Amino acid sequence: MTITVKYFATFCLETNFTQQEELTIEEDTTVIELIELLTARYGTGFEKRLFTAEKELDPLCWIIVNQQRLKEKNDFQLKLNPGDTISFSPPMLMGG
Amino acid sequence: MTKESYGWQGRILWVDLTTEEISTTPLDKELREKFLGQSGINAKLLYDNLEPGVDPLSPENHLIFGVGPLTGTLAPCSGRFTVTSKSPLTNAFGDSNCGGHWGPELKYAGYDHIVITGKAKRPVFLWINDDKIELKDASKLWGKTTNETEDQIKEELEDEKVQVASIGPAGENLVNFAAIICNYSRAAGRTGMGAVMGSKNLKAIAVRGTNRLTVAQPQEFSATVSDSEESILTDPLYEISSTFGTPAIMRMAQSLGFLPTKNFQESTFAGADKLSGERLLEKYVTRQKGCFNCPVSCNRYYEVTEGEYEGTTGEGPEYENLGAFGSKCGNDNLPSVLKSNDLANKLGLDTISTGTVIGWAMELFQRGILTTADTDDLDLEWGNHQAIIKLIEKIAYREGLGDILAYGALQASKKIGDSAEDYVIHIKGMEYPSVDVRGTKGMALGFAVSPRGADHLKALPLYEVAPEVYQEDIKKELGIEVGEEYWKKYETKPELIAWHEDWHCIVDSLGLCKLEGIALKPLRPCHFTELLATATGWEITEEELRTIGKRIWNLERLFNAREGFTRQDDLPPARILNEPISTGPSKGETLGQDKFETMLDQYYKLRGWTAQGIPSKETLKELGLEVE
Repeated sequence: MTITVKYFATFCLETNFTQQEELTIEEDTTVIELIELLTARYGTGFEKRLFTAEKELDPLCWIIVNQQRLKEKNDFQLKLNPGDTISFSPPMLMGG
Repeated sequence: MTKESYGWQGRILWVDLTTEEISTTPLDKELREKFLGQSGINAKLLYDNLEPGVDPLSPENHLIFGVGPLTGTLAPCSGRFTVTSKSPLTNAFGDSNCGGHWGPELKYAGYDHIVITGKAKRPVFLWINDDKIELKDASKLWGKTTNETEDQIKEELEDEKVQVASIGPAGENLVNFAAIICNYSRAAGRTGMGAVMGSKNLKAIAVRGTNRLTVAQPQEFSATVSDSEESILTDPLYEISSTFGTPAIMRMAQSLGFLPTKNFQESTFAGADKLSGERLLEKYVTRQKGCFNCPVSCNRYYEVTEGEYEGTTGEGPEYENLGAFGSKCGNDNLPSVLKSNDLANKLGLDTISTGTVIGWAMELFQRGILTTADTDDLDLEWGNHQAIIKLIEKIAYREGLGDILAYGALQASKKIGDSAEDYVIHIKGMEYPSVDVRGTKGMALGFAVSPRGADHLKALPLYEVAPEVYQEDIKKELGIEVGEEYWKKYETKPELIAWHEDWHCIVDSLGLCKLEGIALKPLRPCHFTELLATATGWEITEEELRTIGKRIWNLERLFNAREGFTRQDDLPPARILNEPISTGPSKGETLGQDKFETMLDQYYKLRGWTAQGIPSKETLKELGLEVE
């Protein structure tokens, strides 16, 4: 199945400025499995931006599947669906 | 050495351009203790010295430059100065804050404020060389761009270290949103301060200062500076600010559905990725540029090395510039935006008003209110970047349609007639920045009640969209519990906005940069009291300091009340107030007149203002602002 992955700001520093890409992944791939795939693709720097030293999700990282933000570790077991959009971003700011 | 010698330099420079009289007066202790410095004392000097009803472009208007007690010290991000006057764009209170290196140089020359009145008989520039002050002939500089002016003044004075704040052709030609530019790209952009300067035949102010600047408690000040710098350097958002600057906001605005597109007809833009901070950094940024004593250095140099705009170089742009010349005009050509940004800086135009006025003209073209017969055959189709660049020049030189647009969208709409005014997105006559505030209720309130018109910087509640980053600070400092999608809510927004307004009055009066002070978390009120105490010897509590911020805010409001502004002038235009966002993630979001006015009532009550938005006698008495 195909999904869209978006990388914002500091995450773009890990993807060599790829802002957005279509990825073909296996059915029932979970969010954490996608993160593992992206870490293999872009290096451990990608993973380090997501998790603290204690392997908790860094509260300053936003992972958004479609319009829904994932905040708990359990959310990472969410299975992705064809056509989903997943975004990796630092906290979003407005007004500058 | 007395307390008066620390932090502030203790002198106001008065320059009457009509009589060419130049004098200095002491900066009173009472003035400092009630209004602190920079924007606060500027506001007080304007209020006390300007008669109501004065034409902003007449010799009677006052143009006031000011620095704060921390400007030019070792305090981080202390390179700011403020220019204050009655605005020709709004006929209301006008001021504009600027970074770079000019402010510290004025401080080293020995002055906290300059008050300029009158009108010179011929073009002049003011040369401040410590205690030697001269009005020098600027006839050969008239017509020059801001960067040419800066270079030629340095050459004439034979000193590369001279700091120059100048106007370009736009200021000379009295474009109502002309800017004052220093260091080639740092702008006192909003509210048309450059036009006021042009109306006085004042091309530039060149400053060289060699005086010492002393602080009250050097060791303690140094420790507080170190602590403040540590807060900035370890802030979680430091990397984003330092690497991308404000352009990182472009794709975030798109993602949230707050990116004004085609003059606010839409709130997402298909070309946002092409205008992004990420694309800018990847393709065009050559190196960083910092203001005076800034550990963040959020500004950047850029260069376009191929294509139609090959050879374009410049500095910036900010997110606001990308929105103004980009999405608001339906333009996804980033090199053309970089060209527009550089051109606006050189011609001395406020990029926000310029891009927004052009976007408005494009909507009039879309609707047939303007045709090629009105535009000198320019095709104002959305995204026509060649036309955008041509219009920037026409505005600055007041040619053809540019002569009308130079008044600003609201004043221009009255000259164009038809239904042109219906599509002006403004408050008090100043054009909106690049935030569709229908989705962010606090920002909508902040834009509306700002004394200088539609303005993101007086309140700048960056907290609102990412509250979890700051939720502990918000709870501790404001007593507000935030929840999911806080930006959509009306509740607690009057408190959020009032708190930000008060503290940003303090940041702007101390001489610091508000992106690092309050807005982006690193510097908190405790840093301000400690920096102020150790720099000046003035021990003050956070509550007392905030009261000064409230006093400044009320004084600016009072200025506008004296000029006849009321509640009606705090209402957003119909599109923002009543039309739902038509596209994107925030589709359906709207302010709603009833809900907005209820929020406005709550804000007025919190402020101690009447239902018409006028500070009550009791509030003024409480703040020591009693007037006739």
